[in-house]
This record gives sequence, C-alpha cells and structure tokens, in this order.
Amino acid sequence: MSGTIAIVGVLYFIACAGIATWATRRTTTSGAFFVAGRGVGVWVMAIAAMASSLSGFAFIGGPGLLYARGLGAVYIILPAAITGTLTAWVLGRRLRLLAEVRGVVTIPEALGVRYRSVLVRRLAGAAIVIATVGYVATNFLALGLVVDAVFGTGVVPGMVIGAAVVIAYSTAGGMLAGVYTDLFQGALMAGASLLVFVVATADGGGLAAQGRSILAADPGWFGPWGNAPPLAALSFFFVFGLGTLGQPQVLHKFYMLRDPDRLRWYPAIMTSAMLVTLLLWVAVGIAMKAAVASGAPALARPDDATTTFLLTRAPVLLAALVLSGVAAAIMSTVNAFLNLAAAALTRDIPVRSGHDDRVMLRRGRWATLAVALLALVLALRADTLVALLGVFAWGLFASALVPALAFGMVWEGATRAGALASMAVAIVGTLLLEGAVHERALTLPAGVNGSGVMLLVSLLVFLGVSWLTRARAAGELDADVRLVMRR
Amino acid sequence: MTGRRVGWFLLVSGLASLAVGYLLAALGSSGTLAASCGSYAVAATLAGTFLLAAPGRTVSRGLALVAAVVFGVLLAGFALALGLPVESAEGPLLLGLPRRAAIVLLGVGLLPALVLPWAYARAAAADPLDAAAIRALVEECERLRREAPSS
Repeated sequence: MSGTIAIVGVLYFIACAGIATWATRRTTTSGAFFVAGRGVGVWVMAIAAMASSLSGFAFIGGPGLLYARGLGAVYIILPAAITGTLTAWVLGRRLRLLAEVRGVVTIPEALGVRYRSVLVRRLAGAAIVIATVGYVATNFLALGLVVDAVFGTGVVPGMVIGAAVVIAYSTAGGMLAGVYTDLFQGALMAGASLLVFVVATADGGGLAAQGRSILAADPGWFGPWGNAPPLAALSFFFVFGLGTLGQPQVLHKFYMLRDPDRLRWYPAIMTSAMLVTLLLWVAVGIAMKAAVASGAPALARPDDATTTFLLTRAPVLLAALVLSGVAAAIMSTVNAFLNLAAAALTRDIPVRSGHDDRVMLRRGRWATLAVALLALVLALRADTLVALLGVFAWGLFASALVPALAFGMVWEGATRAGALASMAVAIVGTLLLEGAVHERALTLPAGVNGSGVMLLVSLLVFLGVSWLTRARAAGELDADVRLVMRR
Repeated sequence: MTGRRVGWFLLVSGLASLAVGYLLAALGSSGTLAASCGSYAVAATLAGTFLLAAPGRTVSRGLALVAAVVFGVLLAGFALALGLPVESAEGPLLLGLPRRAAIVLLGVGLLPALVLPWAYARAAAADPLDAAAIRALVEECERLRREAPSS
C-alpha cells in the first residue's frame, strides 16, 4: 500500500460522505428517495446513468478479458456507441411521459400500467430483486478487494467497510444521495480513464509499436474477433446492445429528469461519457499485452492487468485516482441497484401507491437495508453461489425485461400473456442455463453464450405468444397509455 | 413496405438468423457461416428496433437515416472484419492499429457515436416536450381515462 494511494482513497470516501450527507438532509419524501424528487438535470442524469451502468468490471475485469482473449473482448463495450441513443429513442420519452401521465415511479410499475396487470408488475419486481441481490453481492466482493488494495485491510474487513459506506448513504439518502454521488463518481471514473488512456497509449513506444509487438507475438489476438470464434464476439454485441434496453438502473434515471424536453441531450452526454470512461478498458488491455509480448513478465491472472499496469508503468497519483475510480464504479452501481430493489419490495411486489408518504419513505429505507444485508451475507459466504448470481443478474435483466418492456412499449400488439410468458421463461431459463454452465453440467458450443441464448428465446416467446393471443391486445391497452406509446 | 414493416422484417429475420447461427455452432459447422449469420443478426435486430421505436405509425426521415447508418456500419464493419486478409507485423497500420482492428474499434465502436446522438437531438427538437405540450398530453390522457369504460 502506498501512502499516496491511501490518502487519495480517504479523500474519495470523505467526498462521498459529504455529498451523501448533503443529499440525505433533502430526502424527506418517498419521491426524493425513489426518483430524486424528479428534480435532476440532464447532465447529472446522464452521467449518473453512465456511472451506475459500469461496475468495477469495466476497470478490472474488462482489461483483463482483453489481455487474455484479444479483441473479441471489446464487443462487450462496442455497442456503447449505439445504446445511449437506442435507449432514448425506444424508451426515454415513453417512460418519462408515463411518469407524467400516470405518476409511475418504477420500471415494474410501468410494465403493470402497460399491460394493465398486477401479475406482470410483480413478476418484473421479483426479477429485479433476485438479480439485484446477486449483482450487489458480487460488487461487495469486488469492493472488498479494492478497499484491501488501497488500505491493506484484508478482503473481508475491506468488504464490510466498503459495504457499510454505500449502505449508509443508500439507506439514508436513497436515490437523491445516489444520483449526486454518481455524478462525482462518474466524473472521477471518466477523468481517471482519460488520463490512463494517455499514459497507456504512450507506453512502450506508442500505440503503433504496441501493435507491431502484439502482431509479432500473437497475431490472432489483434484479429477482429480476438482468439475466440467470431460468433462469441457477435453474441456479446447482441446481448450488450439489445440487452441495454432491459437494464433498470439506467432506465430508472428517466423518471428523475426535471425537464423532459432536455432528454434530447441525453444520448450525446451519455455516449460521450461512456466512451471516455471505456478508454481505459481498451488502452490498458493493449498496453499490457504489448508489454508482455515485448518481454515483461506474464501476468499471474488476467484480472491483474490494470493493477500491474498502474503499479509498474503509471505515476502513483494516477494509480490512486484509478483505484478510487474502481471503488466509485462499484459503489455507484450498488447504490442504484439497492434503490431499485427497495422500490420493487415496497411498491411493486406488494402493489402499493397513495400510502402515507412517510410510511413509504420508512419502508424504502428498511427495504434498502434488508437487500444490502442479504447481499453482504451472501458475499461473505464467498462460495460459488455468489459468482453464479452475478453472472445470472445481467442476463436476467436483459431476457426478462427487454421483450416485455422495450418491445411492449413500441408494439401495440403485445399482450399480457406474451409478457408473462417471456418473463417466466427468462427467469427459469436463465437460472437453469447459467447454473448448468457454471456447474459444468452443460457446455455451450464455442461462440454461444447463455445470456445471448436466453435473450433470443425470451424475445421469440414474447413475439410468438403475443401473436397467438393478438385478439386480446387492444383490450389490454388503456387508451391513455396507447397515446403515450405513440409519442 | 412502410418503415415499421421494414423494422419488423429486420427484427424477425435478425432473430431467426441468430438462431441459425447458434444452431450451426451447436452442429459444429465452420465459423464463417455462423459468423455471417451472427453479423446479419446484430445489424438487423438493432436497426429494426430503431425503426420500431418510431412514434406513431410512420417513420421519420431522421429515424430512417439512423437505422440505415446502424445497419450499414455494423454490416459493413463485420463483413470487412471477416473478409479482409490477416495482417503481418510489418504491414501498414491505420492510426496505430492493424487495419481490421481499426475497422472494429473506430468504425463499429466509434462512428455511430458521431451520428446517432445528434440525429436524436434533432428529431426531439422537432417535437418538443415543453410544459405546454406535457400539460396538453396529461389533459388528453385524463379525458381518455374518464371516457374509458370501467374494467
């Protein structure tokens, strides 16, 4: 542990605590807790959406995957040039207007309104809670590694310390605290990534020299698909492209925007911030592969790519900033998911609205605490279940929510039966498929990934069942919701 | 064929193409055919989804252009990646990157970002969501709910 890294780490946590304290004092209603009082500007909203959609994987796992597998690993992030605009065009305006017209606060609530179905709302809420617990548990584990790397606490104490901080501000300040800490964290992530990009592309004689070193040592690595089959890379693009339309931590941000007319700038801000923040992924992966190709010692594990680069080839202050950036990425993601799960537990699974606001606020805080503690207990067990749940989460959001929500909001012919069937197939199928692959009971053919299969299957089920039950479609869609869908 | 119909065609044919690609991979077929199916699937499903997002029944010129850019850039990028010859360490580089890597990173991964957000901003400006427009929408929705038969 370096003194500089520890000092920057302490300053980072102090800044987060300061923002959270400020926001917590303003969190006096359930509206502030769940949707930041619908008072957020488009810059804050877009950068918070970026911060909450990138976990620590973007800084640690991503560069490691690129180092290990070659260019095929970037197909996870290539869709970022498209997804901000896609999300705004398909769902941004419609979800925001639904909030104006029906007072909708959560994604499951929007689904319930769309299909006039409490069951659809409950099933979507259940999917969010299940996936959130797993996702938060894996992020707590990652946070433990980062706190240990910065302060030398050991992984388990580091996990408890990091979790305590994020639980404190998520429980007290809800989404209002979350969205402003996200702004700070997102700016830190983007700034650190940009600096690392400058340092990494100058490393080893520059990008051209790095490219020639890699081509000489491992030409397949720098091929357009890396060292994996092309279909593997394309499956990543499919899942992380279309699947973004089902990521509630991003979609939920549309409800928070103060002025819906400013939504027009969301894709430009979100896409720019995302691309800048993802520069680290590409630059560190290439720089470390080139360094090893040029004679540097091979990495013990691919996930060591970022830390090895920072500790051996970058200024210590930059290493400190990036490690704080990793903590920022993890904490912003955790906060967003805790808030989503709390909203699902208090408003969607037991369908409630119009209750005493103080009661809803108190329930929201207790639900946040409960989900966070459950995730922490799972993370502390540190068995294979946690890793499985982490893998399960992203795929589940994509396969459970994309068909019913994204295509349901643009297709008046979608039916309740189609939505229920696709969500049920997604929940059961994702758990079985990912579980079987994780436990090595099933091996998918080269190039096929489980999340891609389940997204494909749930889309086909949704389209097929909706088409078979198309006679009911008009009767299941309220006229005002239809009007919103046509805007 | 209307814009939305093109959207449906692209979406359904893209999903079918991906299913065929996965099936070919499962049957142990050569990578190129499965990759071609996957390339078309990715380009078609995303472009089709853009077209289906059109508000109302018609697709505006701006949205059609966006869908065309997405479809064209992705399909051309993947086709070049599949079709161009393998580079050597001594071969020419494009902005410091091997040619096919540059096409993937800069063409597929960056080019759409230079077009799509601005096309969205322009389309949204043509149909503003100012306070008066939202108030009118809310009032219209309230009227529709009042007139709807109770269920």
